[in-house]
Amino acid sequence: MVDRRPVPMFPTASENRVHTLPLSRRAALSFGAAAAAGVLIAPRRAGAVTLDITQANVQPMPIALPDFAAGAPGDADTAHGVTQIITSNLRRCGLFAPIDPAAYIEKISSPDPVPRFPDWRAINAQALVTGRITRQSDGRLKAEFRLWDVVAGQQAAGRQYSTSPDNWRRIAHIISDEIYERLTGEKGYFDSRVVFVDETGPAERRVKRLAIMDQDGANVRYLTRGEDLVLTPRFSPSTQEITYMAYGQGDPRVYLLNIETGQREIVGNFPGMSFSPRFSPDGQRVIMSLEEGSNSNIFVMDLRSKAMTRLTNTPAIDTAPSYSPDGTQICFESDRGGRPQIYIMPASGGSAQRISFAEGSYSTPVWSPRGDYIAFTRQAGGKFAIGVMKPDGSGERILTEGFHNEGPTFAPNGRVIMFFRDPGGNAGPSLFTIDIGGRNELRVPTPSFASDPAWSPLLS
Amino acid sequence: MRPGLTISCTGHVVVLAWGLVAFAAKPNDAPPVEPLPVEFVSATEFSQLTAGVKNAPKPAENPKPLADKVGEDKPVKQLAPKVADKPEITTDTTAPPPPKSEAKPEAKPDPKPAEKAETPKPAEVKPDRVAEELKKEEAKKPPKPEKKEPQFKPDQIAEQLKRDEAKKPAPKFDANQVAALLDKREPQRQVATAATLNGVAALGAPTGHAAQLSQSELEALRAKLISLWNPPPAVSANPDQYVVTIHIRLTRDHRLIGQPQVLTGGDGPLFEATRDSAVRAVLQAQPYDMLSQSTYDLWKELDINFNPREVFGG
Repeated sequence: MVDRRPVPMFPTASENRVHTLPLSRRAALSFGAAAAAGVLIAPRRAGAVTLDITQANVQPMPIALPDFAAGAPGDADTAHGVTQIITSNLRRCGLFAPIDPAAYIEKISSPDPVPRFPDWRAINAQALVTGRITRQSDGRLKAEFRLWDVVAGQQAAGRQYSTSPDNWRRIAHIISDEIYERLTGEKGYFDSRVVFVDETGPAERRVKRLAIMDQDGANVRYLTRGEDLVLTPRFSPSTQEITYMAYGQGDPRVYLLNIETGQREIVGNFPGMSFSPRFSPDGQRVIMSLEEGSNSNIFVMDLRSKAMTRLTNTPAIDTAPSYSPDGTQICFESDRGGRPQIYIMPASGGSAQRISFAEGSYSTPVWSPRGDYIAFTRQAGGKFAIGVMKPDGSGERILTEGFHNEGPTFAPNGRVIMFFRDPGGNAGPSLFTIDIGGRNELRVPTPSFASDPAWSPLLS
Repeated sequence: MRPGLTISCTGHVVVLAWGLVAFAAKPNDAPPVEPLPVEFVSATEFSQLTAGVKNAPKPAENPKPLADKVGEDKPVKQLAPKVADKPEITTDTTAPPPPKSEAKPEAKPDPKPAEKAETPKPAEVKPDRVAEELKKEEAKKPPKPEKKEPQFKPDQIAEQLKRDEAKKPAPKFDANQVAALLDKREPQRQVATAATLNGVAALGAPTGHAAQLSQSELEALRAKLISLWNPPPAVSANPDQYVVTIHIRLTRDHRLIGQPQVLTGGDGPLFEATRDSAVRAVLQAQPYDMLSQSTYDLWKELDINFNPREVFGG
């Protein structure tokens, strides 16, 4: 586990022996003066001219990330690696523009002294991250970082962590999340994982295995051996469990898998297929579709009591249910109107309301963890598109469109969607991310073909 | 007949009085539309500047003289003197002045008898007369100045000076006067254009907007801040909750005095990020040299509302 505690704005000698006290005092004084100036500002004049700024220039924020300092020469590689991961995370999220280190004027050798802000303003940096990685005497790794607001000339955040050395990548993701949250005002999503279906082998004899990796594609680990065909893995929002559909012996079934222990179990025991499972927001229930003749309906099962509750009862195919983040509503796909469309209904059952009305058919609806959007796959005109709409059906927009795009899943903060794209032909599918504004489409590196991604909640 | 007339008159008066009240023209409640300030050259700008400022300092009770040192009126050389300046010509209609007639008998007889008296022999009687005459003349002459003296008696002069001094107010210590005393420049009289005159005295109309930041200055300032403001995208969900108002004070060199003052309260990471983005924009916009020196009083303090509602197309 990772211990974390905030780094004080200016560490005292007792907290950090490397740091010299006079500097700290001087710095504290200068900032104290700045703070006093802010407080002592004269009361404003009533007749001051008022100006309204209603437009903005939204663009990636230029940020400087010099290599973290190494507490000892042996830590230099780790320090460099941590910096690289933070830089990559911030660049990939599309909201930051890391500045080329070759442009840096000041060489940062320690995160403690106040940087020379004019040097960083000169290269148009608006934020600066400094840090240090130290291996402590007990073998644990200590990581510190400070985030500086270069324009205002002050520290915006600072924290230190201590963890086991093999957790250094997670430290980098956690620091990335801190920076992201401080500068964008939203929770980050870097300290998270993605479970997906890894596909190897020729197209006619594809081996599909469940795999899990960090959201940036590192640390791939396989969860199944590939003897069963697996589909639609879904993360539990609160536990280290996933649920998925697999073709074992006979009909496809919904399984539950603990990714820490590897323990696997079938959810319920029903005649016929069960498919498209998904967890409730509290992780206590699994909602899924059960085959009933030529139709299917939506059921929810309490994982503790194993009690099944029917939510729909229609002579149609109702499937792909997904809970709203507050757990009061579900959205699902149904062809009760002719073509598959998206409906929402209360989580306890009741009347459903159709929210998608455009041409084509809609499938795989998934509710954002923020609650503001529902992402979907739309098939129209021989193309598959990934899009989002508000839960009332308004504000629909297509983020990407092509031969085959499918299976959207939201990042924990709801700002980014991951999906898989199959270019057709002999090539296989691969994973992509795109932000909910339709910008910054990026391929996620995977060892081989990959499909059906499912994003985990934040790990910490 | 009489009661009918009375009732009729009373009725008419009542109806008319009621009508006066009921149908009185309602005041026009439409708010007066304030004209947009438009920047024009010379004439308009000039008149705007001279129309006074709402928040101008009150004119001092003893306004500083418009000329720092006022010289005395200099007589102007008149190349062609006016007819009116000529001394009046009076015709000598009155009787000839008596002194002339008297002087002649005196002057003529005097030298002749004197010469005569000296040349022949020192006459016993005549010389006495001449001497007496001379003595008389001498005696007459000194009293003449004495006759004038009564007008300028030393005592009276002293008294007059004392009176004058008494009339003068006790000398106050006035910085302006000291400055004037120390001022060794030549007196000057050519100051006071309309701008300086009204700039001191006029407060302007209470609702006037005579001197305003021009549209082009405001637009340039707005454009600069827009280009620098980079709010976090997450505010797009509830933009109205994240309007940040920042108060800034500026020097004449177009730089900030102290730190920008955030007037909007709020908490949470998203508010902080939005607030910081607005503060960054204000800091980075230095120097504010799109604002002209002549309107410094208007932009020395600014309230800037950063409103993200329209930023993300909401």
